[in-house]
Amino acid sequence: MEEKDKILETHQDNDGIQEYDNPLPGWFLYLFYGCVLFAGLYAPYYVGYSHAMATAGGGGANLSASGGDYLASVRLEEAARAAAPTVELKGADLIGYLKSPASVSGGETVFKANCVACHGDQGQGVVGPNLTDPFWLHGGSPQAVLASVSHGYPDKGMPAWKNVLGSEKARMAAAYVISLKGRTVSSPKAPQGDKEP
Amino acid sequence: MLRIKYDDKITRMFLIACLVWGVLGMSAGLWLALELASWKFNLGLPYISFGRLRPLHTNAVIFAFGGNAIFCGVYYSTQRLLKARMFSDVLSRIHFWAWQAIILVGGIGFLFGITQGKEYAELEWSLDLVLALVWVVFAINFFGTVARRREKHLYVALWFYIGTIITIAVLHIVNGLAIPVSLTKSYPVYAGVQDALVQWWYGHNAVGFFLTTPFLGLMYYFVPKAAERPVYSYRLSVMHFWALVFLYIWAGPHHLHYTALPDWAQDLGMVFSVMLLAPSWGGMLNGLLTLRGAWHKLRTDPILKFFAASITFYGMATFEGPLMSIKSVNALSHYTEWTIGHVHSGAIGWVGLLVFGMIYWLVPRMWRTPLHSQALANAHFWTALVGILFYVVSMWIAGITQGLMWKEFTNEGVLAYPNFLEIVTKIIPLYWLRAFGGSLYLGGLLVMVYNVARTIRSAPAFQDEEAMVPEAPAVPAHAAPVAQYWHAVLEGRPFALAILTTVVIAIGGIVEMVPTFLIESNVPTITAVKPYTPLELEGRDIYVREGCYNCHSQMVRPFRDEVARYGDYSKPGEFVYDHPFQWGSKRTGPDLHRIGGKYNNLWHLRHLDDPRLTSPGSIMPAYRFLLESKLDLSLTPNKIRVMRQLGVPYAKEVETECRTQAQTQARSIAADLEKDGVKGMADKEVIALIAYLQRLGTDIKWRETGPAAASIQAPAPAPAVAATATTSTHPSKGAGI
Ligand code: HEC
Ligand code: HEC
Repeated sequence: MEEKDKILETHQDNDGIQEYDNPLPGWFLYLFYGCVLFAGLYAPYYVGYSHAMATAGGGGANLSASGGDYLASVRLEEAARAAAPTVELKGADLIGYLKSPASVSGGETVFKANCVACHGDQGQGVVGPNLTDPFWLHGGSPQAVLASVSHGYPDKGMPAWKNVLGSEKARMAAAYVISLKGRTVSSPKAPQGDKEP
Repeated sequence: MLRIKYDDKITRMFLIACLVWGVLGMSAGLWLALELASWKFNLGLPYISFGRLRPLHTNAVIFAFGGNAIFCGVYYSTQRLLKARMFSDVLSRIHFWAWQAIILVGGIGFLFGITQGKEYAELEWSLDLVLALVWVVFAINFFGTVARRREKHLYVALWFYIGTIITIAVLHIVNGLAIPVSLTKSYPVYAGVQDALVQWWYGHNAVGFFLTTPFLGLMYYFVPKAAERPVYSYRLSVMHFWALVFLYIWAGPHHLHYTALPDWAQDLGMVFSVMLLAPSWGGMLNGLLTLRGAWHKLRTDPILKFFAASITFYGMATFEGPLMSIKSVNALSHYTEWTIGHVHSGAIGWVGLLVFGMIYWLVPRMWRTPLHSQALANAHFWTALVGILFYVVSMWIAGITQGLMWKEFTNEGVLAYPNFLEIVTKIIPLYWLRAFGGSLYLGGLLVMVYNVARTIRSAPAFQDEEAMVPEAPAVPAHAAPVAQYWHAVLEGRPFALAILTTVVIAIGGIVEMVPTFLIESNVPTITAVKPYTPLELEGRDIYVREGCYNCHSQMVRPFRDEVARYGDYSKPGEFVYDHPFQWGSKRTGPDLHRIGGKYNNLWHLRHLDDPRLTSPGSIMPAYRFLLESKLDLSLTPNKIRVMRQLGVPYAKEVETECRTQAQTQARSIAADLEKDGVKGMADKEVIALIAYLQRLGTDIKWRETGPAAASIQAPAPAPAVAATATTSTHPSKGAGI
């Protein structure tokens, strides 16, 4: 490169700053071309791809077409679920599970992490109702408690836990709640709901 | 031959202002870092709670520290490059004092919650107006000097200054358009998707044209001066200047990937961001290669050390930026601390180090005394460098940790970390490390302030203005440089250059904005979406005032993990009445777009009173004062009137009845709280905020239909939302009883 480090004669008076007129380094030029090439290829590819995804999934134009990515990920989720089906316990199996000490102690951990904010550290009730007294808004039978925990009452401020924690942990939490019945606690919240024996 | 004096006093004034604001702005930053590491640093004071202090920090560092540094260097170099004293000393003084006044008044305003709620554009309309005028003063002063110059040829630094002056004016005016409600409150004319697009067009180009182009100009002046070497390549400077100003302006939408912004705009933003790598690295190369042949001086000269490190950080940040603009990377990085790390490698790496180098170079010349201590300057360099590394590395780790934990699922198909708080507490140690890095950086700055103060103290007495008096011939008009290249023609014609720059920067903005505004299918209407009730609107204004958007997003992206965590993803049509939009850019706390109906009113009350009551270990500041302060409804009719002017379909009567409506809704929420034993809340601000939170994201009945159902089973486009088009706007809606 015979041009290298040639001072530009025409630009002499920039407060004493001189300028070379060196050519751009080759790798840098290729970087530039590469970026432009990428842009030229990516835009049509991506627009076409997300459009295809959106129409295939039926999301359509009312969703930003990113809906395509979303639909793809939901399909993956469904496939994953099908591969690892969750065990739904019923009848005596369920009661046995809910009464077993292992479930109760596992449930205590879940409860401490997710429930104390609303039900208090002893289940005495704060934002949510007291879980130790014999009064229930939605029933105190093991099945009813499990249903409360699993599906919640979102409009009343009780989240649905099965979709958050998974059915295993939700069952454990229910087991722990059932074990709380009749426990004496300091400063319990006033009773809510109906008394059950 | 003529003897002229340069106005150096103005350079000295801006230099000192830059240091003073630098210390203040960065101290605020350090305090914010501590507030995130431990909520106790909020001190229970509304004025410095995180959401109010953060705008003070960002504005002080960008516009006060950065701004004063730009003006300091521009006033110094422009006079010398043009061989002319500034056009008007009076304009220079007006520029200086008005700028400081805006920052002072605006900054204090932020502490009192006076904000427009748009990032880096938080100043309210009244100050925005003054700011625009001051910018015009600066422009007149600058172009006046250009007109009276004695050197025909415009050096590359000046192109960058011209690009800055024009573009910042355009950005500031377009993004600032708002209708006033009172002197200290206004609503932007844009809503939702459009507001988001305009804001990030502005936001990204504040980075591009306030933190990049002017500093590249300064680099082109001060680096060859300090290194005493010629600039590496003139050709490269031509190419990267034009490519940079053309490409930058398109890149804004990369702040809105996977949001409700139309996809074509997102894709344009991404593609242009990736291409931006080349011109950015062009600037880096020209800077670093100018130091060729001066590397040996780096060992002893702190100024060159600062410059070399600064340009290196520029290269790093402009590589990281395009990387983060790629949609699949952004899916992970967006809303995390990674973004914070990225912005700081730009702000304290590139900008900060360049400013420090420039100041060390200027101080001995401006006060005609050698620097008090070279050793201290070297010490400053090393503490700053180690500080940045701590900062950036801790934020990388924190950001990637957050991103991965948010997204992880168990085999059973549920979120591995459903409790958001668990992820928050996980990264607290990294918040401490970041605060440590930040305090090193601030410590270095304090050393510099001491060093400069000592230098100034030992300076000889000044006879009024200590200006240099070079001899400079006026350039006759015909003495145009021999046009070796086509571009040289422009270099002698500043006004042609300015007009061409305006055209070049206008293209990207127009192509992205005009269709988003005009083509209806970009934001499909959802009939179920109704305006906020007067109480909810007041609550929203409290949300804006407290700066909740600094920690919370309101934009559920269409990803499986976000839908599982927050609820149905956000649709463009849901934000049509949001003046300003509040999508946020960071998830220090969880997304709030679907918070409505998730908890009951009592939960929110306790959570705002002290987040630790409901969420042990939370780092959210306590908002106890909202439970004590009375809700002020005096502006409500005005607010409704302005909203109506903006096209929000309130019935005419609402303007007169809004207070009664608000009170009725407040009483019904208070009644619900009373059932749980909390009394006396009906007239408190917290009620309005709760009303707003309970309304958020509920116009679409996703809780009933389920998010997946709402979006997947819809056979054709529109019905997904149209099917749920029944909703009540009854005031007690969302009261949760
Ligand atoms: C955000 C606060 C909140 C959290 C967290 C919470 N709950 Fe609740 N919970 C409530 C509220 C409020 C109710 C009352 C709902 C109603 O009024 O119908 C309730 C009700 C219940 C009930 C029914 C009580 C009855 O009287 O029928 C059970 C059982 C229960 N919760 C268990 C749990 C468990 C187990 C967890 C943790 C996995 C949990 N809750 C977490 C707020 C919460
Ligand atoms: C310093 C950052 C920060 C600020 C500022 C902040 N928050 Fe939070 N917020 C958090 C964090 C962290 C959490 C998660 C832990 C918790 O529940 O407190 C959170 C949680 C929440 C939640 C519960 C979300 C959920 O889904 O469980 C709500 C509601 C909320 N914040 C509202 C607000 C409001 C309203 C403001 C402004 C008045 C605000 N926040 C300001 C950090 C912040």
